[in-house]
Amino acid sequence: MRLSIGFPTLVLTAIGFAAVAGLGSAYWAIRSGPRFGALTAGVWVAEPVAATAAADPYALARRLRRQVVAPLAFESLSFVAETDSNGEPLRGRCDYRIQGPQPPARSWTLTASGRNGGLFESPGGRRGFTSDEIVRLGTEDVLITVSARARPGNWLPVNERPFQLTLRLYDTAVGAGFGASQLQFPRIIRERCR
Amino acid sequence: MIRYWSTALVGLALAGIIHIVALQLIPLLTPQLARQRLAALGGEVQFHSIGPEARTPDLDPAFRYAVCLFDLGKGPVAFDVAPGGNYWGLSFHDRRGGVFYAINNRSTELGRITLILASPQEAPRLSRMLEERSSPHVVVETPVQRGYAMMKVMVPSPSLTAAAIERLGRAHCRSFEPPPSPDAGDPNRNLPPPAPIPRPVRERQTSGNARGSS
Repeated sequence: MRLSIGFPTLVLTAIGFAAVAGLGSAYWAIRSGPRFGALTAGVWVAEPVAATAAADPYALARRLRRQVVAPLAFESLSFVAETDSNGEPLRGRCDYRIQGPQPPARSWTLTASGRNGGLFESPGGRRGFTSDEIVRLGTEDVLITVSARARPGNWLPVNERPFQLTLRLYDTAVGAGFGASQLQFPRIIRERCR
Repeated sequence: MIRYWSTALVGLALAGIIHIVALQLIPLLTPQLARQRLAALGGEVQFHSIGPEARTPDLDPAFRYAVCLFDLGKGPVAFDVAPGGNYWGLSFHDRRGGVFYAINNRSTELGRITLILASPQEAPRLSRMLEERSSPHVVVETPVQRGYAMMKVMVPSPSLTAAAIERLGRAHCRSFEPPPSPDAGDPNRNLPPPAPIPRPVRERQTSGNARGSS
């Protein structure tokens, strides 16, 4: 069968395709496209360049979309984990153990937040841990329990919704010459689920 | 057949162009860039603390923040920071929030320092003039004209909140009067006063406000 399509139809089809493909690909690239210059350490991902004035257009669009006013760059870095160390998404219905060596920074904080970055309402007022607040149980390692139910030790409360973890390193050499991949970051190990 | 193929190619090229144009338009179409958002806190060249109601999700709950908006088109801006204490950081951002310079308390171990943010036109002359002075100055040259400075002070544990707020109040942001050009007479006589160790009353009030509204 021979198709015969008029010239105006062809032009309109091309324009329609271009609009959908152009805008769609831009949207996809901003939302879930490659992160140029990202540092990964296990499941922890930081984007040091995206925080700077020299961010690429995709990273800039992501930053503007999230309405970031205080991105961390140069001497501090923000690592985000959306999954546990087995690659499973972090769920509020499960308990997690964050265990491993001290993050490589003079000061650091760990917070749990919703997928959009919004902090949880916390009954005890705890939204995260700072490097100074961690109770160390005879070892140099860090051990923090993330759970929606009260736990002994270093308990980081979440609610029952999916969440992400943000590990912010302050006054760190990571990113400035040191790669993050050579460094040992705490692992996120899933324990019981309800 | 050629007609179909050429249409497909044109469509693909057009899609690429639309992709790039859309990306470039995003910063222009964003209703409120970071600087505009922060402008709600108060006027330029003054630190305003970010109160609980103005906090955005990207701010670390373990920190207290203060912001100073600048417009280098109106002249250089100086930042006075005191050394020591728990971790604090001072970062300079462009209108969109991108960092272009950052220091922390370890960068200032030598004592109280003054950072002067200046345009590429002003910076070389300022550096030359300030070299002769004993008080420590750092001139930061930037092509960014309008932006903001973000001072963040860590609260390592809740009991240290008062100390962090006090430190935040001790950071100052002021317009810096460029020294007159050397041919305007004796350069030493015309230099601006050294780093503001006896702070003027106006700046004390600034710090009081920062404390009060946090």
